[in-house]
Amino acid sequence: MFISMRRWFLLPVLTGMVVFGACSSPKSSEAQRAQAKARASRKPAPQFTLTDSNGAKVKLADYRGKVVLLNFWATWCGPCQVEIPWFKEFEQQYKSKGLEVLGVSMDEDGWAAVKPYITEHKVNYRILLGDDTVAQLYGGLDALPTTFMIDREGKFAFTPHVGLIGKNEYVSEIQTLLDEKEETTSARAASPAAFLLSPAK
Amino acid sequence: MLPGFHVNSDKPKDEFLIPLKLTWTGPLEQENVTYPKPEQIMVGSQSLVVFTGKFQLQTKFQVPANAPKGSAAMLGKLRYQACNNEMCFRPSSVEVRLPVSIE
Repeated sequence: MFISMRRWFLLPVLTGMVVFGACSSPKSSEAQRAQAKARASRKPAPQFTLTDSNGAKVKLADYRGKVVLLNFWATWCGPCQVEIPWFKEFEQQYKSKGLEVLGVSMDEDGWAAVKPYITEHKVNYRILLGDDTVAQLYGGLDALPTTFMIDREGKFAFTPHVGLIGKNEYVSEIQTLLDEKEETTSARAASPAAFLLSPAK
Repeated sequence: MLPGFHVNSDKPKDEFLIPLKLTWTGPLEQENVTYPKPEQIMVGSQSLVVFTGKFQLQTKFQVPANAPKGSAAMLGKLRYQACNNEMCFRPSSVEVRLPVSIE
């Protein structure tokens, strides 16, 4: 016992046993306008109520009529950090045209981790704190970033983006969805009913 | 780890990233954990220090004076947060059980 008490143990631990699934390849759509799903086939985005960094309750339903870029992210997620400057730019460039960027943080440490991050990185769009319930509603969110593009009717207009994609792909999808409003407005103006309702000249 | 994947090193550059951390509980005292030399990679414009492939962590234990003789086990918990160049997975941990014999 006397000898053993002074003995040092040097024990290796192999840690290469963590095995993950195969990764997807980068997507490379650079089109000016992305092809959205047909409107009739779009599924409604699951509703949620979460809290923002000011403590306000935010419902997804509040954004009906807006195009929503719904980004699930975390402060510890490197690829998410690549996207955040793009989203800040989108917030500035497209907000007046009807885009809302919503970032839902999945940080386990909550606002204690998230608030310093959004302050340091000057995040200019609304950040909400996610939870397991919203994660399940949106497919589990096992990997981040995961981003959903939601049309003005609150429906998924594109396949969700799991992982980092190109900035131009977001731009093309945003423009496609923002244009849908304009197309609808134009179509309404050109319809016979609109003609009948227009003031007589 | 599979090709293309990494975990953050024990000392990531960015304070918001989650470091690899091995901790032990049991009858022996954890003197220190030695991590391998990390690699530096770029994800977008972000520089990261990470571990990839197969790597080893070494733990140095000391037997405390009052440790009971006989068979026992140390329980290790490895906390990690893994990513590839496109996505990250939620922080997780694996546990290892290390039988020891104290004479």
